[in-house]
Amino acid sequence: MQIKFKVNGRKYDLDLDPKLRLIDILREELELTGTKEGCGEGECGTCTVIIDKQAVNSCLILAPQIRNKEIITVEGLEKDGELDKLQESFIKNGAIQCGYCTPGMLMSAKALLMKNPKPSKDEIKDAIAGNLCRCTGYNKIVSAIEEVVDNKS
Amino acid sequence: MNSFQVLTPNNIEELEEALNKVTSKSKVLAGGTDLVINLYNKEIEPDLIIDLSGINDLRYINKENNNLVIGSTTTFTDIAENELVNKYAPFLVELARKFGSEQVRNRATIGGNIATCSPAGDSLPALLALDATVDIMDKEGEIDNIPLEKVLIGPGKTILKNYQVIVAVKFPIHDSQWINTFVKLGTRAAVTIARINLAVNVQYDSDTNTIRKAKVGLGAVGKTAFRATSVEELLKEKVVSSELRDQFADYLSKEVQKSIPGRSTLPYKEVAVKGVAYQAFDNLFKK
Repeated sequence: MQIKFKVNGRKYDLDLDPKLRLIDILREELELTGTKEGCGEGECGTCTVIIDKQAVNSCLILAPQIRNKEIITVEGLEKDGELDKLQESFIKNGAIQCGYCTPGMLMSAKALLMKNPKPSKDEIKDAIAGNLCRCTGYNKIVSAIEEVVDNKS
Repeated sequence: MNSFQVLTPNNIEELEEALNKVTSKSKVLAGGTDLVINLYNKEIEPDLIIDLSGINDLRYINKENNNLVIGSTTTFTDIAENELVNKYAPFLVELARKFGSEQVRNRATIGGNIATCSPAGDSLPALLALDATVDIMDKEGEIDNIPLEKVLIGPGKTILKNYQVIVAVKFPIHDSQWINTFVKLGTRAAVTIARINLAVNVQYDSDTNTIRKAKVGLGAVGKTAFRATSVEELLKEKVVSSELRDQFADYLSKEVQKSIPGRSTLPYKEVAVKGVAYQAFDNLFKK
């Protein structure tokens, strides 16, 4: 099935098997392996990407549904070799241990700040409630996001 | 997994055409938060999938005469952020905010929640407590309006035939005396399947502190969500008091006993529902 879509600002027009999920297209077809698969059931948020400014689980989206959509993955956060403020803050605040949840966490955080540049702590927690982390205990992830929010003011 | 055909109608006419191509194995795709999982678990093996995501005409929230009408592909994020819903049925906003996760809310649709017909489906008790009806369209473009309680037949089973699709859900606007709340009990605070869902919609006369009428939807304690009619009778024309609060919890417990006799979860749920009841009662009446 011929599908046109955009990823990280770049246009694609590909013949794709309709039964592929977005996560398969990103990782296998486009070799953008920053997006990880955790549960494959929309429970862990590891596969989170942004479509039309909203955080979504890429394991739950079938190929035909990405037609004409603009998708942002973790690879798209960096601009001209410079890390996004969120990425820098995660590193600075020790919000990364094994790193597996990190792309998903960053995308959920990015989607939140795109919609609401000054979220409260509770709003930050709600935004990442769909992202599981087995290592950090979440506090440093929340602090890392809060620091970006505070620095914006 | 075998290959399947996908049709991507852009409007209602094209949807009608697509519905004429279905077989007993065909499926309709909206948000995908249930279907894509079932597909990859091999629980379903469709020959054809009709993707509704391109039909903008199905995604809306409107006030029409004295009804609120929600298009079937409206997402739970759309509902959570909608002013009309917040004004006329705030407990739908409450449940939409608690539904799944942000990522799931951005995709999951109200039509899908109804069509999946999980016994624990979050929107179902609240829609029942609003006397919601469902617009179902067939392959001829004919639309039937059916009360929600008649649409939900059993676990994972609705009255929908293969060539039918939900296009909207609607409910009458309840006047300003009506207050409502939704309480969900789960094993965690977010991203959890409900162990018990309770939606309470009451017409409350604050001058006399009296409940005039009540509509109570109970979920995850039966084959489908249902209206707890004995509880509604209990509350009718009663003054709000701590005795009523206790009776409310008691009657809900009896409804659970009646609904899931012999189920292994009964000893837990017949007690847990009382906690849910107290929470709902306090949400409504504790000042």
